[in-house]
Amino acid sequence: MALNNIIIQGLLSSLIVFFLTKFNKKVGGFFTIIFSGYLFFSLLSYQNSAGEIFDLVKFGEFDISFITSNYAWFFSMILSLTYFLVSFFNPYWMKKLINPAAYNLLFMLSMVGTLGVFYAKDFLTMFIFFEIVVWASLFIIPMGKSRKSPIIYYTISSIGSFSMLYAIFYLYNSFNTFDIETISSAVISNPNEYIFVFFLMIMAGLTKLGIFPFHTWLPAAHGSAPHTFSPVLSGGLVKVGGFIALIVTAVIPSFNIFSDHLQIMGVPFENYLIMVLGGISIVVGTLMAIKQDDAKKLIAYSTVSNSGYILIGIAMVDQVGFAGGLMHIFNHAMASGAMFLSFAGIAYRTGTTKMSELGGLIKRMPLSFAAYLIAIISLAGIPPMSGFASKWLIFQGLSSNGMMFLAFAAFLVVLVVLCMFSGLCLLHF
Amino acid sequence: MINPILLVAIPLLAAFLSIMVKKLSGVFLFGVSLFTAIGSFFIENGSYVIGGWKPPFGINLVVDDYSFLILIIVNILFFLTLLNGMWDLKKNETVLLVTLAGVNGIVMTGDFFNLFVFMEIIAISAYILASSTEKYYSVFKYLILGTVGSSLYLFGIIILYGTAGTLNMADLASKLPEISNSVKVLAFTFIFSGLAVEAKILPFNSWVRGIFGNSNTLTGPMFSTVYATVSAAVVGRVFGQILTIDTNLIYAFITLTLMTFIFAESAAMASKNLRSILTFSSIGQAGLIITMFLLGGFYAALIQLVNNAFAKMVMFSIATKTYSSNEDDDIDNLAGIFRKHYMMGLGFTISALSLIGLPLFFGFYGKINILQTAFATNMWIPAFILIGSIIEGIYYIRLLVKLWNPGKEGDESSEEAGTSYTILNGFTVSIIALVVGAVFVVAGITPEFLVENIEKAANSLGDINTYLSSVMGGI
Amino acid sequence: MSQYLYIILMLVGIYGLLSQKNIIKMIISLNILELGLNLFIISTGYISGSNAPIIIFENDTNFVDPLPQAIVLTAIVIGFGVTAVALMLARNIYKKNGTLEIDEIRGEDND
Repeated sequence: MALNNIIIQGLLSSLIVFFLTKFNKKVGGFFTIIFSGYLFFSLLSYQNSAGEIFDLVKFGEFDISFITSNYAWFFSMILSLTYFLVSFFNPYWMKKLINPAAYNLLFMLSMVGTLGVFYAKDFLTMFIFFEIVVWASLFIIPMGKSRKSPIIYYTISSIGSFSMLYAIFYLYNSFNTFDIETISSAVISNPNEYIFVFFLMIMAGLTKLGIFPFHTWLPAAHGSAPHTFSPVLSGGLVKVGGFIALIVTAVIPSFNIFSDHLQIMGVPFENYLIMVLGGISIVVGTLMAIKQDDAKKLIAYSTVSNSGYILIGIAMVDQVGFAGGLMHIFNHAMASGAMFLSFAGIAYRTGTTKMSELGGLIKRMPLSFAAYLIAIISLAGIPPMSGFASKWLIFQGLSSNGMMFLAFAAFLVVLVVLCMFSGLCLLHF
Repeated sequence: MINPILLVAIPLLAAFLSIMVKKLSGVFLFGVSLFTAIGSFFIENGSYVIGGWKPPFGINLVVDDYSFLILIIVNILFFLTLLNGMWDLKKNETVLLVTLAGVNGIVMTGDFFNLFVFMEIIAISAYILASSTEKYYSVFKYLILGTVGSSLYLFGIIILYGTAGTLNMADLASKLPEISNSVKVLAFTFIFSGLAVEAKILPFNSWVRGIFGNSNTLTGPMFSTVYATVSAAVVGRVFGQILTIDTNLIYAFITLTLMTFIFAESAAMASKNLRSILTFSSIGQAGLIITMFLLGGFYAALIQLVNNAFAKMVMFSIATKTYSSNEDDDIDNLAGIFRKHYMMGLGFTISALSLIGLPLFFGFYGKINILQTAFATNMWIPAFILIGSIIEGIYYIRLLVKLWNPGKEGDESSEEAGTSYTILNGFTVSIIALVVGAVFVVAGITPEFLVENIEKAANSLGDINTYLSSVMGGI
Repeated sequence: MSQYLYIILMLVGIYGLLSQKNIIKMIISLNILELGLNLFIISTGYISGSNAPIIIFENDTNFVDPLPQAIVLTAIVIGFGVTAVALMLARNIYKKNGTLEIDEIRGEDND
């Protein structure tokens, strides 16, 4: 089915779910499962299509249109799978939320927004759907525990998205187009303009991924969001930032464009700078995670460090490391989703997620324990879980290019993560 | 097809009649307002001579696409404001009718001194209207500033008269290249200062805080929508079309208006009071719109003007209704009030998000055009605009989050932590809020149906030759 | 020459607005400002050696410019209206605060 129809149906489904939830809360919750599953399964058919263009609507004198591609399919599969799986928790949580109808509406709307970002043909479409994702998720967060965190989230996210908007219009002023392919071929012939644009645009990716120094919103927002939305935020929406980083470094081939700039260890200095930021956030995220009491904040800090891994992988543009980065996107989405959901289950039963108040749940909730254990083993990078594969690929990419410092930092952190998580696991279950 | 002078004459006539027949003044007010709101659709473009003296010796009214658009918007807004403020009308009907006459006149006029006269009519009725809130000292400050401003304006146009010999807009526009540059700079500075008082530009806007911040259900929407639109439209007409300024002076003015935008948004961040936040947001938006007019981005300016006018209509009506029901509009005390008034909350949210310029709403289309215009000029201007927009977004989101989700920090959001305030008599406000919200959402997805007229208006503003030929063709 | 005097009058008015603390004195300063402005406007129409612009039966066309005088007529009336409103406000301020000194009037922001 045509992509633009899918998007339109997604938008309509958010309205339908809103009214259904007003009518009956559980029914609305069930329908989010159905709709997100429908979106997931209908996107499966795009696995091998690339370059098909779909027009959505004519927005003034601009077109909003979509184009399919492999990486878009990859990302959209991960995201829609995350949303679909998380939506199974929705019906049970309806009665705990202050505004279930708005929750469902914004849930579906943010899902459609992420799909729009991935399949966007031009930067304007990408920006429009990116902002839709931001404000849709923005209004869900204060239904949880904190009213200040969505404001920090919005501030940092706006800084990123407005610098991206500035860069988009700068490019429009120079090249008179928003289209990604046209811009990438134009930029290849004018590499000097691209440095400025590169740094501005990747800020949007950095702020959404939660890389140092923009990481402060992540634990606040993810930790205090409603329990069923945290896995979506952490496993899903963070990856939208990774997608922006991908576009800026890989789709518009930064390696080619910067090939005659200063190179540090075989990588252009712009990419190296990004990788250093990623490395710092790995360390910062894990160190901050160790001292957390609230389990959700702990998992959120681990998201910070895993985003660092993803960013290193993507920015490296080395074939092996890049594959590792992309695979880690999938692994982290599943693992952090699983971790948050198991704690959502705990919170449903016990009403709290503070680890100091929990203990001895392994007998009562063995399945949650098993899921949590598998997730943290995967994230720590221990075989035979898939997290091992992605982390290994990233290490291989780093060390084969001679970037031993980063590789060492990443490896050290793995040890710390291992200690921390196993301690957590044994102590509180 | 009616003669546009009726849009000025009939409200004036009704004003005088309403003094004589006090009981029917409400009927007059609503009837005439409805007449102008509908009648403004039925005027034809052209230059209408008043009193038989052809320009440049006489005064004329010019109706082109631009004034047509502004007339329609302002009259509709006036009528909606009346619906909102029905409970606060008290004895203000005569003043409101005079305001209506003045507002219609100032948009259509083709003569600088006529503009001064209408400006004073609007100003005096604004002073009287604002004093119905009983905050007399703020009105006094407004009066002083307004009179000084209009005196400066008069001084400016007399300088132009002294050198060019005419006060007719079209005639002056064609004589402008012959005047020496230093005289032009002097005159334009004075004229800009005079218009800037009403248009809320720094440093002339110290009156705004007292007037808007203390508004009731009638003056709040009236000032922030009708007056704001008209003042910005007049600046657009005068500085966008008639008086072409050279680049150095334009940059001086743009510095002022951009400063207005950024400082106003920063001041709104620091406010804790609902009406204060909206006041500073109005100042900021006025600065942004006038920056766009000065840069030549008429399309962007008009879109933002429409966006701001209708959004502020909704937001101010809700804010002032809240204040009049509860005597308090500190946002901490209002936490969670939208849980009880869902439709109003929805309309308010959509208006706020449209003002920030988030996609899926009409304001985003305005933002794209603003950035396009700004980038065509300079690299710094869009940076400032975006910084101001970030600040605007932050405080609006903070406001919305607080008003939708009650609860202490660290606790789950729940109904019990909500406020005990309610909004009384909010039915009209809810309907208007919902309709405007729906229009914003639809226009955000497919803006074509709304912007066709705006595009025509912007094109006519950029085209001085059509204006000249329509006025002077009769000579 | 007299034009400078009128400009000085305007400046006196503005100085009065800036420096005076009493509301009635501020209104008087406003009036001085408007007076200076009106006189200035009339003076721009002056042509030396001409007569007042009233047609008496001779065919004498040597008139000063009548347009500024018409403008000033309107401006005087507007100034009168504004003064009336200002005095109404002054009376109400006095009733509410008991004083006409702006130092002693309580601020009215956002109560």
